[in-house]
Amino acid sequence: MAAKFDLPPELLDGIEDLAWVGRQVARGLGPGVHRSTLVGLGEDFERHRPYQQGDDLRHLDWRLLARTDRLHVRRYRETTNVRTTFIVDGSPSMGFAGIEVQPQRGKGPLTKLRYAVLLVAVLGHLARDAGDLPGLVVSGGPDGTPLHIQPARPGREAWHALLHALHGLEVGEPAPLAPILTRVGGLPRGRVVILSDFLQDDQGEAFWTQAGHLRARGDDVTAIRILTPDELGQGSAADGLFADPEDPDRAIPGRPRGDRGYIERLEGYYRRVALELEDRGVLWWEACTTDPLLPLLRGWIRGEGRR
Amino acid sequence: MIEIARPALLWTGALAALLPLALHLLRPRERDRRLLPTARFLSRETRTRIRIHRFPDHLVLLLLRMAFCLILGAALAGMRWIGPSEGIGEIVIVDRGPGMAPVWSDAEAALAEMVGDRTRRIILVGLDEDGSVTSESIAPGDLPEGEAWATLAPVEQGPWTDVHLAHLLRELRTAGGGLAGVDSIEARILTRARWSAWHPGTLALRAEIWPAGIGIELVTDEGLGTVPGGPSASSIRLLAPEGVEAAFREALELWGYDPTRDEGPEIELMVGPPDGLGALWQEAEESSPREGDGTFLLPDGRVVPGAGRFLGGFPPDGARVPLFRGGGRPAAAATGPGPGEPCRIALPLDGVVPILGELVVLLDALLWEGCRVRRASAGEDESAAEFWRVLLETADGIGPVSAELIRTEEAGRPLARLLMALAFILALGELIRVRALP
Repeated sequence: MAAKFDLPPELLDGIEDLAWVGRQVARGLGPGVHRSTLVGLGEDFERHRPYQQGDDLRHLDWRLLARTDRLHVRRYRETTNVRTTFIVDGSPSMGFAGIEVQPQRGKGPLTKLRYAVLLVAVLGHLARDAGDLPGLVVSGGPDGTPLHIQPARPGREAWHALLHALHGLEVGEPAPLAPILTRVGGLPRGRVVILSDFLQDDQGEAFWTQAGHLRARGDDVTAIRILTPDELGQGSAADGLFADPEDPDRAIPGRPRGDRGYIERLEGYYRRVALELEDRGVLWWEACTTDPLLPLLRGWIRGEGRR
Repeated sequence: MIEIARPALLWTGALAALLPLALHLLRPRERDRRLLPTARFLSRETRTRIRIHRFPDHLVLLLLRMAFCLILGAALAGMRWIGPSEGIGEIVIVDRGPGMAPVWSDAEAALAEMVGDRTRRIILVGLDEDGSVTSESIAPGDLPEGEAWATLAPVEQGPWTDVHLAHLLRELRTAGGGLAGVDSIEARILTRARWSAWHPGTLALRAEIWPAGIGIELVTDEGLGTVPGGPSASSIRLLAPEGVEAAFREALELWGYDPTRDEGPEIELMVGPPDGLGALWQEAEESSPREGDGTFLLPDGRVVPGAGRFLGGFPPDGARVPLFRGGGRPAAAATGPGPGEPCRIALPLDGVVPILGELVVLLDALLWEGCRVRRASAGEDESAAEFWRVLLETADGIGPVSAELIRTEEAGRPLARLLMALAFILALGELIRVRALP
């Protein structure tokens, strides 16, 4: 059997009580934990409604009729599942683990991509527990095509295929995320989780525009920004000549740590990206590769701010 | 021990080794690039705060490049590995010429003291009455004493009044070839200073005229400092007027020189004097004071101090004398060769083949034979006792008595090929590295 990504047992134990419920009503294919656009067929009582001609007498609340002598029918909340598509940025910048460390295969340094893989595995596990159908799209293929596509399908085999894809995931070529979002826009609606550093050449404009389109058509879109401490100006690296892995010919002398201008520009960039996305209804989460996963996930799912 | 034929090239290599160092230090060097996806947000003005990186970061590469220059210089400098002293065999050559007869008993005593632990052979060389060479090789342990020694008495005075010392050297070479377990031969020559035929200032003058006259490097096909090997070839080129050349060549053969067998450095013998040798002749009064110290005008115009003493009646007043004389006759003069040029010996003759039996000729013969004269001493006293004392003590500056520590050129192992191979490997590595660069 092919090797697949295995989540640490302690992590699985830690997320056992978590339910990753969507922010909006959905119209899924089967039972789940998300509120459905269909009302009345579920198990959770929602409200009473005066009986109307044609209502099914099986939904008549006989006890209420006995007490109040009024005819009311019981309305139930429908819950359903959704397609949860994880979009992972596979551009070379996601292979960055730190200034002084080099990315390696397997159990090498924790790159942003590997951290994203961990998040996808955990969130995918939560989604699958909720009955969702997790799928995966990885950018970084030639000419802007996806590096990998794993359609959202039900079943154990589909889940193992996704874990297998995560296990061998490597960075690809520099590619913008917007075309990937456009491609996902052609799929049925559902939940879309984008994991990236969002360092786009056009300052993110095309990305948030496409993310807005997804949101407008009814997708539940979440953007998770992943950075390393060195990128956040918190690393121990001294001054040097730095180059973007996606533009290695252009080197800039500088000092990330202690450079106030760097920090301000970095935060300003992401502040604008976050605002643009949030204005379009996209949920914005931020993570650093040194953040422990469990508290981070709990904070996100329970809605405790951005981080 | 390492001998260097052309030290200047070694220094040149050392200077050349500074070139890559200077390039490493001075060339604008970009620091190693490090990846940072958020590099676009860095403040460019921090460039001024980044110190200039001038320490040679590719230290191994720098060292290899410097080693290449040094090794190449060493290879071209003609380095030669001389083995340890244990590998040197010593031979004592005893002159049995007629001139040794008056001091033969002293020679016996001197020889007994000269023979040491390292002495492998004792060779007695002389000329018979018919002019043929006599050579007798004796092991140090078989050295005769007393009456037995008397049987080895010098040859009688005959028509050949001197032993041609080239024979001594030939015997040295022959004996050296038969010595096993040595990589070079040192020879001590036991002979007699003949003051009546020797100009005491000549030795000093020789050192001035030939800067390497003592310890001279000889030019061969393989470069400086080596004796040509391979097939025998005539190494003496005669430049002489017609008539003189034939006589001189005959004389060479009489001395034992065999152009089909002998090997040696390239030496031009100019028998003449041809026109260009006029400068070698000096007025006796101005160049060779009869008594006391004087100055000598050398062929290249330099004036050097020297001590002069001549036999009575020679040279006659107003005569032009060559700078070098032997036996009261003009014997040899030398033009000053530059480094790397062949020795040039001019024999200002008047159509008469000289008898070159004096010590100056011995030195010449040594040089001809590819030997290296490391040290020579000169003495003032004509007495035999003083002669032997000087011979044994080899005190510097007291008379042309002995030429010691004659080492054959077989000594040593040329390092040029090894060094060139090393340099080639380094150059190949550099080439591969350059080709591998993106």
